[in-house]
Amino acid sequence: MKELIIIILIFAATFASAQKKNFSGIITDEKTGETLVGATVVIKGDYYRGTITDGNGFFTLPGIEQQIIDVEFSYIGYEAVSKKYDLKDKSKLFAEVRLKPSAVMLDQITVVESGYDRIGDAEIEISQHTLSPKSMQIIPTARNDVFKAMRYMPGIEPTEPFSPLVSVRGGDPGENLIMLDGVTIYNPYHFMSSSGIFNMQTVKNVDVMVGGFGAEYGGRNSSVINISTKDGNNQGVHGEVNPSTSESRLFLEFPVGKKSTMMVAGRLNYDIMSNFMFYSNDYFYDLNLSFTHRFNSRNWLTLKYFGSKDKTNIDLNNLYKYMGNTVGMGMEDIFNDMSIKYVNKWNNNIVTGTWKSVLASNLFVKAQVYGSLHRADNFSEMVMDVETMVFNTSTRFKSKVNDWSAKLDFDYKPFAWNELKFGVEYNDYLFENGSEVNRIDNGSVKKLPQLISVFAEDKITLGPFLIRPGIRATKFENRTFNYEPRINAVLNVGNDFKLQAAWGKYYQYIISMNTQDIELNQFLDYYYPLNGKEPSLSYHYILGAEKKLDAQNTLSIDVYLKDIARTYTFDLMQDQYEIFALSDKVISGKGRSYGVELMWKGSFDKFSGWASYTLAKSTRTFPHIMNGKEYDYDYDRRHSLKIVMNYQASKRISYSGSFIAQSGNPSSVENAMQMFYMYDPLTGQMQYSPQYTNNLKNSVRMPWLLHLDLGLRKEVVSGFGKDLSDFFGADESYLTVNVYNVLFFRRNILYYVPIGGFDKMIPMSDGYHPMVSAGYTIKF
Amino acid sequence: MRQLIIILLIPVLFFGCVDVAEYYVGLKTQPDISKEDILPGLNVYGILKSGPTLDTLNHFFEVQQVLFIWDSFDSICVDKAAIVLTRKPFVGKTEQYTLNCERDCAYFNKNIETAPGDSWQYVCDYDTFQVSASCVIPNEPQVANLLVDNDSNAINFLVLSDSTAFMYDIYILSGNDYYIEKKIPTNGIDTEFSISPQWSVSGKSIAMFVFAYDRNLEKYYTTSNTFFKPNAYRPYFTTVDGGFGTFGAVSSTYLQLVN
Repeated sequence: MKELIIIILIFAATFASAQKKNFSGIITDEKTGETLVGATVVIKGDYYRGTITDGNGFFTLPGIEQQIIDVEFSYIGYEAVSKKYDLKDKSKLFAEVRLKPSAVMLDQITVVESGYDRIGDAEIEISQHTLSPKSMQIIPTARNDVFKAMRYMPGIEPTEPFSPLVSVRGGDPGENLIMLDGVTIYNPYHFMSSSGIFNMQTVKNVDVMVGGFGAEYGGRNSSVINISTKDGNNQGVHGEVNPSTSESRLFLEFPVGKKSTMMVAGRLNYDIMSNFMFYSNDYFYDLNLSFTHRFNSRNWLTLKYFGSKDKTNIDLNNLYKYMGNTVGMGMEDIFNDMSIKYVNKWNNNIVTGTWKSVLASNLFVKAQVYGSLHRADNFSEMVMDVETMVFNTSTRFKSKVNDWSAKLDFDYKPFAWNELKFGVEYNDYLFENGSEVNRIDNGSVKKLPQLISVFAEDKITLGPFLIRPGIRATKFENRTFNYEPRINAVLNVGNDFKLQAAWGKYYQYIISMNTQDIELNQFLDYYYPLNGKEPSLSYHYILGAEKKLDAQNTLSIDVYLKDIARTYTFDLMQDQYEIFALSDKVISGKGRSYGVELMWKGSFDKFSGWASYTLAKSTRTFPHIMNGKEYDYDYDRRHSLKIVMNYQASKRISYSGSFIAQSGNPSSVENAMQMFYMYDPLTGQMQYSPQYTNNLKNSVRMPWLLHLDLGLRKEVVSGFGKDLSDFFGADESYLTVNVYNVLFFRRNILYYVPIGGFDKMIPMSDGYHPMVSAGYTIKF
Repeated sequence: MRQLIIILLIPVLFFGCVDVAEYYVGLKTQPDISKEDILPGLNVYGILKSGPTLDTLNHFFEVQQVLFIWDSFDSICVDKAAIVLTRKPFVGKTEQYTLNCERDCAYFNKNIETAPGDSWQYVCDYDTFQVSASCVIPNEPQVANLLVDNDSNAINFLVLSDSTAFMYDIYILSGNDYYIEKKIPTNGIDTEFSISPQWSVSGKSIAMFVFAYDRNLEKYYTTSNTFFKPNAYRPYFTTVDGGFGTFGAVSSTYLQLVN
């Protein structure tokens, strides 16, 4: 009886709601036709209500009682538009709004969109950061790199000095879900951290949720990073050309007929310096293609392709030979027999089709299919042979990932106070991993698991209080469903101040092999499915507060605890005969990360940017490491201060700077020397390899790191540059000058390299001198 | 300006010039490590060989010590250790051998004899340290289905499954050319080799040695983290009790390949 009453009440409420009107629509950029994510929609007048557009530029205002509404549409950097709608006319229930980019005024120049973030559910999401291309442009080292830019956000830290991988809130890099337009992408990095594989010209938005994310996302324990790319311009041919001595880029977007748009972008990097010094013939490229067809204002289809390839063949022997022959003094033989090799190949290929439809004014549906294919083959070797002293170590890791997926998401707003999201996803995987350690084949493992994920979350607004309970159910292989409940809550205290909280349970079925203790530098994650093992598990507890100081400035604080109940690492140095299979080298442990993040973002006078401070700690425990004693995790950064600032000196000239000061990471600095014996049973010759060992994991804290980069951007309005841009009919052309590593005199020590027989170690840095780069960009 | 000077002086007063210079100006060039953190001990190596080789001795023993990272290499050698080996043949009576340090830290006894199936015990005493270990000489490796394929420039063969062999080391010699390959067998399965040297195998005299390693040596070679990665977690490696290093055995076979 009780159930019957509830059902009747629900139907009654739905019926009552049906008597009211649902007003929905889509907001796009008038100039490019791109959908605008995070634009504000407000019904003015006595009946005040508002919302923002979602990740597809779509908005819904359900349960409107009035017949005529006056609506204001606004977005930072665009002219606000007010329109009246008579909702008696059914054709007015869906609005297609185009906002015009505002003319740039000095006092309006800001690179930070404060207040609402741009995707996810900004009203309720916690620990979310958004980076627009505009904000990335002011980071001198990251003008063209999503992953370098992300490192300037609180809680996101680089892993190894030369690696592009990032650790989020003390997590493993393999715990980050990285998506390109909703497609899970594996290892989206180029070699030597030179750049992420996403061409910045194509990037529309980068959203990072560093914890407490809702049930819509899953499969990873630490964070969700989504990069959305442009669909194409429906107003004419536009583009950007960036030729340079090391990397050239081309970007074009244009309409195809009346209803379709296309975007083509490519980038080719050829490392001339390395090629010259090491005869390495290194290169990488990436290619983006996007085609969008709008059947009508409520239905559109997008097809995208992304491809990238890296090839590196660095043999430092070539450099050593040169050095040895130059230095002389009998060093030739030593250098001739010395070799450090990197032979790396990896590529990504992604195809996806997405259909988006406004089925009803309060029901939005998105269907997506994709294939994400990744291949990697990385070999590194170190050989040195001086009389009886020998170093001869090598590793080779091969990885193959196929991820075919289909997903269907619904966004339904039955009531003004209620928004329901639900969806289903199916992934069909192939993982093939192989390794060779010191030229001994470790074999390879091929696994073909499937994952089914179902989620539902319901955002309920009760006056100033918002709550979003959600649940994600996941089934991996043939096991039973695992349930991941999550909840987010916000209390709008008033006076532009809100309190936030989140709790969630997160399962991860696909982990990455941590090879950083044996690979010369771990550039990539090697993904590995946990077949036949319990999934990795963590719980997020987050409390936050956000105060909007004024229209431009926001201050926020997040306190978090990540309880890692079960995590895995690979111990590749286990006995080969006893434990041959990679699957048996996975060892289970646990850990904890906690910290507090303070952040200001906004603008004042001619300055704009953000600053953050993080105090954090991350620990792990594994039975095979120091007999299960807890230790500071590899990516633990106790203090981290980050500042990114832009100074708009005039309409044409801006200066920018980025500064990082952070405590060094814990490191296993060697404290002992144990000779490794290399006996040749055939000849009876003994050779020795001095091995610098330690019995304490991460017992030494590296010194603080300080890094300052400066940049200048100047619009070209005269001279040859102007003539050139006029020749191309460009809308804009500008010059950028960057000075990296300004604090070069303050050496950042990244490694202590032990040298046999000496009572000192060699402190190694990644930058001994400043670097200057200049570029010229034409946008048309 | 006066304020600026005061601000700059405050950290100096608080932390002292040395600390400020080290931590903030970047002159801290050495890590904080202590000799007390290391585990002192002997680092031994011992191998017994049965079967044909190009060596004149059927064993090699050495004793060193684990050093603190900043200690001089001069103190690494231990030449006054007392090493006693006990042989328990598959058939026959137990014998004992004492080893003498004849050069650097290497120990020998020319009277040592051994054969597949022998059990050996190793005890090494020095100062307050005592290292002990044991091993069994593997069976002579059996090669089958040997084929020199001139067309594909490959040498194909099987090493028959043997529960006493845990790693194989293949040496192929032809004049000044050579080829070496290591492989870990799977228990109970014949180990397949298909060797394609860089040099031509056609029309040449080719010699092949196959070494079978015992459990200890296989473990020593596959679990020792010998990678050059600086500051990586790299615990001391050992298969012996009471110290570090290894004591193990190999047995070999020799084949002359015919084209």
